[in-house]
Amino acid sequence: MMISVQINYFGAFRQFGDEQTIKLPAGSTINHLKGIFADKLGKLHATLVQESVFANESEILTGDFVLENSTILSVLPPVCGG
Amino acid sequence: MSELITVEITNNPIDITRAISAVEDPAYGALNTFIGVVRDNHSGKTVKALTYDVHKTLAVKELRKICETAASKWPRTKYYVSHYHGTLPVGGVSLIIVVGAPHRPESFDACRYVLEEIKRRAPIWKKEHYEKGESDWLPGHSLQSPRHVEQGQEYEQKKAG
Repeated sequence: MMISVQINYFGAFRQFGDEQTIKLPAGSTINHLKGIFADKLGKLHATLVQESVFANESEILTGDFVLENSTILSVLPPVCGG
Repeated sequence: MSELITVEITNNPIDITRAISAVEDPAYGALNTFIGVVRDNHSGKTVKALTYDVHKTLAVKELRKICETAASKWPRTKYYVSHYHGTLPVGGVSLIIVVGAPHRPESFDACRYVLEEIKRRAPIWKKEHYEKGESDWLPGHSLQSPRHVEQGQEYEQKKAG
């Protein structure tokens, strides 16, 4: 079964719009999602993607977190508040 | 009695008087205040304004966690933190931290701790707007833990294999 993951953009990712949706097999991990996402943005932005993390509305997700269902996540680039 | 910890993300002007009132306590001899403002230069460029982007839900949660940790390190302290979300001109107030404490040493230490942790951990980003119309998102601190560094590497290894 394929699922859809909507990825909301913040910070430097805003240059690509507000969001992107990626389809991938249910049971995929955040590692897998991050790889597909990096491919879509291209090599020019590989470092930005590598230094970023994915989060749901309550926490940052580790690479082995399993995506069972369609969901909405955020991609968080390096932070610089204050 | 006021709350021990008050945090907010706002696009209203940050009210310094309200911030100080939030941590006042008759037992406190120190109200240590940090106010972050937009300056007009960075790396040799003239800055006209800053835009702050924020993941509000996670930012409020992280600001509270930072203050909770500070409160455990420096007992009998109170915290008020307000961070701006949106665009500010030069001189605009982007952040206020007020720490109330019985004595000055812990008020300075706790205020500095909260500030540095916000810069390192809070999901907040800033974009500088320059005089000629161009703009840049500023680099910052990655939120990756050692486990998060593995994100993507597994996929790259599978592709290579």
